[in-house]
Amino acid sequence: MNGNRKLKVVMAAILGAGATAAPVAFAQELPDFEQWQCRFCPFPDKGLQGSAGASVLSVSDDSARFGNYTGLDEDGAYLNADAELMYRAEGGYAVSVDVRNLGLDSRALDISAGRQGHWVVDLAWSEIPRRLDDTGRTVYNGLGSSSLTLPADWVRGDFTSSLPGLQQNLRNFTLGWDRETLALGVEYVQSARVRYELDWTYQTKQGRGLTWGNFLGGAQDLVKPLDYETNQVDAALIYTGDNWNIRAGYFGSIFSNKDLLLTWENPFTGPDRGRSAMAPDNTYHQAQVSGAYQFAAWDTVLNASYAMGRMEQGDVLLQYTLNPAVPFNALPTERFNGKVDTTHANLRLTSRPTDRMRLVGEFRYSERDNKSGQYEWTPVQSDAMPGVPFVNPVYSFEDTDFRLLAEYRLSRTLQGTVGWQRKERERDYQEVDRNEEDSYFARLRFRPVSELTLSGKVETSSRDASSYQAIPSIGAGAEQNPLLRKYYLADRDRNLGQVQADFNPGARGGVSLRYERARDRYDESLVGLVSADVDQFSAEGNLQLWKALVATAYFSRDNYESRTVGAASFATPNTALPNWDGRTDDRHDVVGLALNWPGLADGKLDLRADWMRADTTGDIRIQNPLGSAATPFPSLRSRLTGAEITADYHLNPRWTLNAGWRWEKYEADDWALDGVGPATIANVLTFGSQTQDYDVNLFMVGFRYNFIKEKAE
Amino acid sequence: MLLRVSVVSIALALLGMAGLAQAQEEYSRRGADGCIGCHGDWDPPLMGIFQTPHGNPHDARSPFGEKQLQCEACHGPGATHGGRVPRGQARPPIINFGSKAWTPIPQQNAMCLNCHEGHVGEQWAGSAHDLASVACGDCHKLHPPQDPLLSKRTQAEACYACHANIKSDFLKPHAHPVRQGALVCTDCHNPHGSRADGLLVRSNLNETCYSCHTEKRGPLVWEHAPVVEDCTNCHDPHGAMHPGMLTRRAPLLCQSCHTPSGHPAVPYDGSNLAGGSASSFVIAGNCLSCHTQVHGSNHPSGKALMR
Repeated sequence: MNGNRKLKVVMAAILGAGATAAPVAFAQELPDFEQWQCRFCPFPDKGLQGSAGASVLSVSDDSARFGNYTGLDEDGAYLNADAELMYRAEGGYAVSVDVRNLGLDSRALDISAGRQGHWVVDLAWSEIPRRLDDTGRTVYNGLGSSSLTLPADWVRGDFTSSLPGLQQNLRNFTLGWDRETLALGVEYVQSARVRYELDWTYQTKQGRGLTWGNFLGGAQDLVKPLDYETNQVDAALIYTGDNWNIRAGYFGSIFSNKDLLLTWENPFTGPDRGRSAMAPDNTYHQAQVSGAYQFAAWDTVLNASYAMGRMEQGDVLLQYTLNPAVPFNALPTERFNGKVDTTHANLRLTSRPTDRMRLVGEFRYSERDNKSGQYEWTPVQSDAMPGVPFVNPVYSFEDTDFRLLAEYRLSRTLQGTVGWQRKERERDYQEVDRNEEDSYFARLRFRPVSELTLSGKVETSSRDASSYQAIPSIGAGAEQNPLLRKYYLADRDRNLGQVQADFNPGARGGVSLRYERARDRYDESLVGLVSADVDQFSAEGNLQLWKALVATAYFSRDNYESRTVGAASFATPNTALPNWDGRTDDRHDVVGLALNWPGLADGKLDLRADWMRADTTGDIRIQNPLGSAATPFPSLRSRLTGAEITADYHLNPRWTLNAGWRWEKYEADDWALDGVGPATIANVLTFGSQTQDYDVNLFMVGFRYNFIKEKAE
Repeated sequence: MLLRVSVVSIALALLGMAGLAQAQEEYSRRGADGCIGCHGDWDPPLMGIFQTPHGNPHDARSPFGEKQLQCEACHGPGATHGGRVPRGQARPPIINFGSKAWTPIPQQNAMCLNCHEGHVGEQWAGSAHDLASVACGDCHKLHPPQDPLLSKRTQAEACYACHANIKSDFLKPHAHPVRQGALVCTDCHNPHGSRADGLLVRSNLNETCYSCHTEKRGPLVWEHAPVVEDCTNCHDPHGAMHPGMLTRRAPLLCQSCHTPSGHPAVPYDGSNLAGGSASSFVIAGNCLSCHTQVHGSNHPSGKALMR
């Protein structure tokens, strides 16, 4: 042994001293390592280990929604492969390869090489296919570019019903994009105390996104080009001392967009073309330091962090309009001097004065200090009409949070916690300068036997807003109703309750139940969101039915209800009293059953079956103050049903045959889409996209090869 | 070294708390060989640990590194546990892991932190999982060849063991693609503690969102105030039943904050759908049909987020 090293005292030793809370140093006779041969330890030999497999998938139907994120959007056959392999060499060197969905657009590849405890290099590639819509139709040419043009013979009209060339020029297209990420990570362990980490990612997002364009009185669905590129770097130096550690790091993000504008032709009478700005390039650099210090007394730990960063954006600006018929001013600046400094810090002290009690105190600070330039702009409305001068607000805010918490173990079975938290936010250029929110909570955890845990939590909080003030607007027509209180700024009372029961009597099964109820009330808001309620219940249980056959069943219900009060008026400014309200009632139910039966047929066959259904229902009711209902909205509905059966047959320890069937069906009713064709709305030329119902069967056959040693076979 | 010496102190501390204190609990005579003699063929199998970093003999920091304490590095000195037990007496326990274990959770976690302080300790103490009495062993499984939590294929299921309600969220019609395996929980959350609410990986919520949605970082000429304050003012990031993972359906969501005279303040109902007046304020893109740049605009004429 390294006998010259000194034994240390760690904080856990103090725990052993209990309420005395005095540091006690223990010395321990280390073993005679000559006798610790580890002769029976099955250390893996050098060589290849793991498994790799290939399969053929057959998809029954085209569906963008089924293929969303999976890459299985087209019917037909797919050849797929995956692997989890590790090659171990002499001296602890190793290379591992993790491959998922190699044949699909959702593929991911991760290669890691190195010598554990010394250095490791990771190289990763991943793709995420976003398949947004395949039901839309458009008349525009140039999809995916920054210039959308109408057919050469397009005849414009005032409404969608008066566009003579509309129907013959509509054609199908798809919306979606691919997000591809190349990542390189390096970890270097200099010593037992010093470690370096470096992670770089290069990500692209390319494809077609959904946006819209408008002129005064009319609008159109548009395709926006997506050609994003982001480089991000995380670098850190980590030092671990005897009773402290520190991480000093840097995070950098550089975003670049190759299409900074979108120009489109107006299908309606009015200005010929419109132009929107797309997301500008931006950068963010942040220096970070964080760490922890363990005091000898009372198992006390001090955690602290500080991060300081700057976001910048300074792309060349577009002109107010590209329409030469509209007079416009010169820009006050060629580039926007966008600059935001961020600061985040926390200081947390955790201590155990006795073995029964723990105290936590925390202070947090966060600031978004917007130092961007402020200019007097003279916007042109919708490339059509000169506007009035306005100075851009630069939103800043500053958060200061405090938290105190006391946890006390009343007995071996009962533990209680009480706490207080205060959140303060100061901001500018908005209706409320300052919010103060105090929260109090209590939590109880009761574990009468090791198989059963009961826990509950109640929390109440009250958020107060400083005086609500009007902010500058462009003319009386844009002024808010003075009775409005925006919900994210307004006074709010929040009450929350949560109970949970976990019962795990043994290896044969267990059950877990959870219920949460939250109530938000905005009693000072006469107009705006006045209430939001959440009820959530979930239950999950598993049971060993027979031998290795295990069944898992789950159910959850999620209810969200809200009420918004409105004040409608066509007078300017709008000073109407509340005269309508809108209530939402959203429900989400999930029920599922899974059967897992490994080891059939003398251990050669593993079977698994899953069934799941997820339903959503959303109702919106609009009422006037007297309670008379307006024409009701139909319910928003969706139903996702899925079933899956997989079988793995082990021919021998090396070879396994796989087969599977998966079925998924999605049905939805959405009044925002149902029956809405390109010309349904008189003044909006839409894509006419519909809900993407699907009914897809997926069949899979394949094999898997295990790389194992001869003797294991 | 950290590993060895801390084990001693912790083990003694544990024993002291449990009323089992002995003057000097001793290490076993044969180390892992003695443990494997009894536990080698246990179910669930324990020998998988030799496929994992903890069982790597080439890493001096590993419990099975040269002259490290092997099984007893984590489970504490085991001479008594592994020694002869008089007939009729129970075998003395050894440090065990997970919520069901007899070892108090703070002591279990302190044992892990002895070595992993520099990996996870910066914000662990007093973090949400620490305060919820989550044991390291509740989430991490160290004996199987692959810890489910560290594999992108299995991580989410491991988290759902406690967060079943979040599993349901990902089944909502509009959700981040965790169900499809394109994202994992730790892409956004740091379960070992964070300076941010919700155990988020970056400094606050928006900065976490900007990790992937970098185009929304700005700053822009015309910002939408609630957007720069908190993305969750409008979005439910785990999943929602409304497009764009919005918490409520537009136009009602937008009307919670926008009440100027005319169209923003007017109530809309079922008569405004496709079979009725087919209002642009309600169906298809609704408010977004005109206010296209709802996350902010960098156009000099984008004051109303229309360019």
